[in-house]
Amino acid sequence: MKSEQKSSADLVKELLGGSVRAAARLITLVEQNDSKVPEIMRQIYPHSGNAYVIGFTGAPGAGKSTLVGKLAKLLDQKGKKVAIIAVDPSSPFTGGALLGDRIRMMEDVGVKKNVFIRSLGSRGEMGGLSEATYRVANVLDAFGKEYIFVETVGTGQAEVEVTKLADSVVVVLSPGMGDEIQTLKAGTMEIGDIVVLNKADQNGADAIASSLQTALHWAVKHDTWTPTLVKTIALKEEGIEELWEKIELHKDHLVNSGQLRIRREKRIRIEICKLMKDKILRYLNKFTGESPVFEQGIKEISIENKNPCQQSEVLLESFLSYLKQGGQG
Amino acid sequence: METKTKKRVLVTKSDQDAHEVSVRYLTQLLRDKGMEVIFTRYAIIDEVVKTAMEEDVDVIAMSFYSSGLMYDTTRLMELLKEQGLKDDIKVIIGGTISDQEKKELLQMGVDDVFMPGMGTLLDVVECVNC
Ligand SMILES: Nc1nc2c(ncn2[C@@H]2O[C@H](COP(=O)(O)OP(=O)(O)O)[C@@H](O)[C@H]2O)c(=O)[nH]1
Ligand SMILES: [Mg+2]
Repeated sequence: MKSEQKSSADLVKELLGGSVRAAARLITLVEQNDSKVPEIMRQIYPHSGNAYVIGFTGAPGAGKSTLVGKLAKLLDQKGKKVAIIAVDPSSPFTGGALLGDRIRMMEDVGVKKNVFIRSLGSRGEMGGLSEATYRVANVLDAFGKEYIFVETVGTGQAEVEVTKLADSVVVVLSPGMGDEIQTLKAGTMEIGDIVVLNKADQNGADAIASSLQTALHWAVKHDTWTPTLVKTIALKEEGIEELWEKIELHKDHLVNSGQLRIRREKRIRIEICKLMKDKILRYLNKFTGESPVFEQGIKEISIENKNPCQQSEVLLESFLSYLKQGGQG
Repeated sequence: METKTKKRVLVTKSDQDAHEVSVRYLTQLLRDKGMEVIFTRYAIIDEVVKTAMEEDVDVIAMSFYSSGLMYDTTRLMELLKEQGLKDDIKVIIGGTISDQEKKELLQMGVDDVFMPGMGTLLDVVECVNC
């Protein structure tokens, strides 16, 4: 057992006081979907809303972790407070995960740097993004981080997922990834706000870059922003400054056009729906687990041969009145 | 829905140490047991404490097949104590370690020591998991 007996109020107080330990513990709690989550969120919410969230997505091996590490180093040098959330897929069978993104980052954001890195397993979420990622970002926001980078493995779907979470989305490609680039060129994929062609040191990079450039003009647009292309060599720290300039331009665009608020409202909508769903499910589990009415309903199906469909309607009515009574009776 | 608590383990080794086969294998075994495994190589041992703290791990498993064992472990245990993490994190060391070194490691608060020929990696997994 860890010294996790601390109340969430104490942990939040320590978080606001700058304790890395408290931040890490709170992240674990919100990620586990602990029953304390609503309480924690209530306490940290007044202190969040200041961070700018940037999502990085793309196929494994494109260089996302390396790139994110270099960018974090640059921002740290500029005196900005940065956190990184690195999401890797969990095994659908065992729930276990190998979280290896830190390896590419530590060199750049080692002990002396003020960059907080947290690795998460996707825990079976479709888009490679754990649902809890939103809440983890909220904790880091309340912790005072100004920029939060979220790295996720892109599987087509994940790009959409990360859009829901991030203010700016950066799609990372590399010349070796023919398929991805073909889809992008075909214009069938909703793409990021910024497209990075990393590994620009590799063969064929220039040709790919120019065809990508053309493709971007035809891309599906979210608003008046035209997605921009940046070439980088993350490994040699080339193009990082330029990438940062582009991200800042996009940020300014979102702020000035009012799009930032719209994007964030989308995010809030998702989070609220999730909270409501969680609460209903919790009550439903309680109802099916302890209500004699429910037990009786099951018996009536098995013994009296009642129709399960009809019976579920009847039980749903009982559940709704059970809900109205605050989960009693 | 409640999500089950997952054990989080930091598996790490010095970047000076070329022997990586067994740690790689260990990370896979741990993952297959349903754990979340953070794998790193460190340049200085202080990084391990930063990582363990940020990742909120339950266990640190370190491997030594070349020099640095006593120096790194001593420093690690010191830092863990300093940060108040000592009681919350289990420390397991594996590699080419003498009996004398093992005794000293246990004395400084390492929870378990594994040497070659002393059982298999599955015993290590067992130890991490309990
Ligand atoms: N040639 C080349 N290799 C790179 C570059 N950036 C990253 N890499 C390498 O690509 C591999 C995958 O990088 P990583 O950051 O882990 O990719 P991720 O899976 O997208 O996070 C590593 O071996 C990196 O060293 C680059 O600009 N050029
Ligand atoms: Mg990565």
